[in-house]
Order: sequence, then structure tokens, then C-alpha cells
Amino acid sequence: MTPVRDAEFCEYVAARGERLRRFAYLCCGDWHRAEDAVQTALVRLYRAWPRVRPATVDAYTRRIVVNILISESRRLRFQRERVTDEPPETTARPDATAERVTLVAALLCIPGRLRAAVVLRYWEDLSVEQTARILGCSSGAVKNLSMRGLAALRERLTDTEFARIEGVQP
Amino acid sequence: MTRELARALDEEFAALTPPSDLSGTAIVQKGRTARRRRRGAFGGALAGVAVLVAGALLSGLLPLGGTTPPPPGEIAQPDYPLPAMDPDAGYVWHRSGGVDQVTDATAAIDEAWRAAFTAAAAETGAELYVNIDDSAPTGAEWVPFSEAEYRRVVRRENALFRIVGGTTWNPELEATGYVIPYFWAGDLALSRGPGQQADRLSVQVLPKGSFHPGAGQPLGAPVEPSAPYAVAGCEDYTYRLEPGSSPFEVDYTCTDGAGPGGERVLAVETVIANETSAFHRELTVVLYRLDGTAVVVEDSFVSFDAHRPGSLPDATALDAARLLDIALAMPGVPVA
Repeated sequence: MTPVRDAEFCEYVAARGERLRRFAYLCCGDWHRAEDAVQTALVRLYRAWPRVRPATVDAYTRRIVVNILISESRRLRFQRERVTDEPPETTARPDATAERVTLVAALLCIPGRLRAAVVLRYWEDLSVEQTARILGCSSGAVKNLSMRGLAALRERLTDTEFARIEGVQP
Repeated sequence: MTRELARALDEEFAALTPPSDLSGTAIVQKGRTARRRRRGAFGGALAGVAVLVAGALLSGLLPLGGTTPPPPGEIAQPDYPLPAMDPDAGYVWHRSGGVDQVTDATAAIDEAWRAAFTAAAAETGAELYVNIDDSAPTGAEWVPFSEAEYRRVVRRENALFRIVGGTTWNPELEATGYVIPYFWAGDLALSRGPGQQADRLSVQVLPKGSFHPGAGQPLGAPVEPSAPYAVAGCEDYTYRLEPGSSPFEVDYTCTDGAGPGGERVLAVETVIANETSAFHRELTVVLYRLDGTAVVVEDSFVSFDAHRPGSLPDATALDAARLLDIALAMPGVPVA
């Protein structure tokens, strides 16, 4: 690529890398795996960079990250480890003795596909259709997953924490 | 609630995110190295194809030429929800139901398929051939295209089996009782003449609910996707025909994109090589339609009679954009 393109790509990584890493972490619950997945995704993105449209680059990159994490889970499955096609459901359980259950920890306790729908819809602020495209399912399925995801999240939060994300006092 | 959820998550992340080694410069360096490596391994062709495929899919240039009809509308498709499947088990499809059927739906697909491959032959300057005998010792007997020999798009049925033992070549299977109909045609080849490559073209339409989106990693030596995925990929792997024999390397290049209606599109190029050279290439495009069905179009190298190149050509006759064009041209009919 030209130096200008390389500079643009570096700017993108600087601006979006951290957000992508957090997204990957919410999908897999492991910072090391998250960083590896994002790095691999960005290398693939670099190869396609001259043709990528700015309007779709985020969605494209998130999709690569999701595919990498799913492929990784599948590979582990073939190594006879007990994992699923989806990001693990309970990679990090909240400490029962902790005074406060964090929102991130609660999210990591809900099933992978529900979690992905909640993260994409409400943290990444994507539309139902955009989320469906990334998850490879129908819009109806995304609505269903999001609703069940929020309900599952609600079950794992204290009234105080739930009130915090509702924006009202308990 | 949801706006507060995003804000609360951001606040927590600000406190718990560990430092990162992500660096744009380092990734650029890795990207350049990966590109050089791929070019070195495949004479520049594969990387070029990958970038072109990705570029074509991502830049919204597809479909080509503006001749493609609009994608199928939201027709009510019969649903074939998959049964509960053991995530630790392998699954395969096997044909069931015996006789190929021609129906109104397959006739509609066939009309579009004929138009598509006729146009493809004209564009590539290739001659059309048809396979007239699946039971031939070589797996096919190819003759020049004629109406009398042409084999139309048909309806078939597949049954899903769970692998319970045996080997990848000879697995022990257990029927799940799940059976699906699908439409298929694949006895067609494009050839540019003696000494040149020939490409077998196939089309498959899968019913709603009967597949997982994305690529399914092959379970072993036969390079078939693990059921119920529509295409194999995307992790490169090595297999041996028998213990101790020379290894075969399977190299995938998978590219995600979107169709004109926002459909998901997956393009997978597969190259198989042994210790001395690459000897097989195929390119598969899967269009995951908005009505829940999927169209799989494949261009796969095939050799017959004098239609054999001296070495493996760098690309299939039709590229991913052209295969997607064909997939988009298939009409939306009930797949049942």
C-alpha cells in the first residue's frame, strides 16, 4: 500500500483498536485471546484496506473478530476440549463474595450468543439488521436474543446495579 | 436502560482494561509480511485473488454489469429447523430419497442456471461439456454439451448422520432422522480446449433452517464441510491418505462480504497441494438469502481426456464476483 494508505490504516488502529479489543473481550472473556483475535483481524483488514469503505469498516472488522473467535473455539473443540461454537458462556464468573457484581462480569456469565447480541445492540449501538449480519442470523432472532440477553443480565445483577444501568435510583 | 448500559460498561472498562501491545505500525509490518509470504508460496496469484475478491465484495461493486435481477423477495419459505446436535460430535450428509425430481421450482432455477452458465461460457470463450456418467471409473464422463445430454437442476434429499466411530474415510454413522430437500445441478464444465483447464460448475439451493452460517471445518481427509455447514473452511490444515504417507496441505482463503440487499456472502477459495506442487483449486460462493435459504455456487477444477493443463492455473475460470452474480440470479422459489 502507499504510505498515505498505511498512515490512514494506522490512524484507524489508533482510533478503534481499543474499542475492538474490548468488544473481543466481551465475546470471549479473556484479554489475551481478545488481543490475539483483534491483532489477527487487523492484519486481515490491512490486506483488504485499499478497497474497504469507511462506512462499513467497523462492521467488517467486528465480523472478522467474531469469525476468528468462533474458528478458534471450533479448533479447540477438535482438540477434544469442551468448548462450543460460540464464545464461552462462563469464562469469568463474578466473585460471589464481592460486594459489587460488575456489569462486565455479569455479562460474561450469560450465554455467548445472548451476550453478543446485547453487546452489539446496546454497547456498539448497532441496528437489528447490522447485528443480524454479524451474527449470521435473522432480524427476528436478534430481537429475541437481545430480549433474552437483557433478561439474563437482569437476573445476575443486584437491584442497585440494575438501577445504575436503568439510570434511576433504586 | 440501554443508553445507561453502554455508559456503565464504558466506565467499568476504563478501570479494568489492561495495557495493550496493539500498534498500527506493527500490524502494517505483519500485514506486509503475510502478503509477501502468500505471494511467495503461490506465485502472487492467490494473494491477488484474495485481495480482488475482498475488494470486489467490500467495495459494493457487485453484482457485475447491472444485469442481475433483484434478489428474491421475502417469500414464505418452508422451515427445516435443525435437530439438537452434540457439539462434540461430527456430522455428515448422505443422499436419501433415491430419485432425482424435476418440479416447478427446479424448472425455475434451471432456467436461470442455463442463462448463467451460457453467459459464463460466452464471456470466458469456453466450450460447454456435460457429465453423462457418475459411475464412470474416473467419477465422470464428459462429452460436449447437447440438449439431449444436459442434466437439469433437480430436487434431491439429504439425510443427516452423526459420526459415532470409524475413520474419516470410513466413518460409522448413526441416522439422526433429519432429512432435507435441496436443489442441485453440477454436471457441467467449461473448457478452453485441449491442454487447458476445465472448470466444473455447480449450483445448490438449501432450504431455510437447514444449515449453519459460515464455513465448517472439515472433519478429516475428505475435504468436505462438516455438516450442516454449506462450505468447508477456513482453517488451513494437513491430511494424509494413510498414516506415514505424504501430507496434503489444504489452504483456505475466506472472505466475507454483503450482497446488494444486505445478504451475507461468503467466498472460500480452496487450494490443495502436496509436497511438490498445488494440484487442485476450487472457489465457492455462498449467498445467505434474506428469505432464509442459501445458494451455493462453485467453480472447481476438473481434468478429463486432453483437457488438462501442464500445471495448476492461478485462478478458476469464474471469479467470486461472477459466482455471486450467478447466485443472485437464482429466483426465489419455495425450497421444499
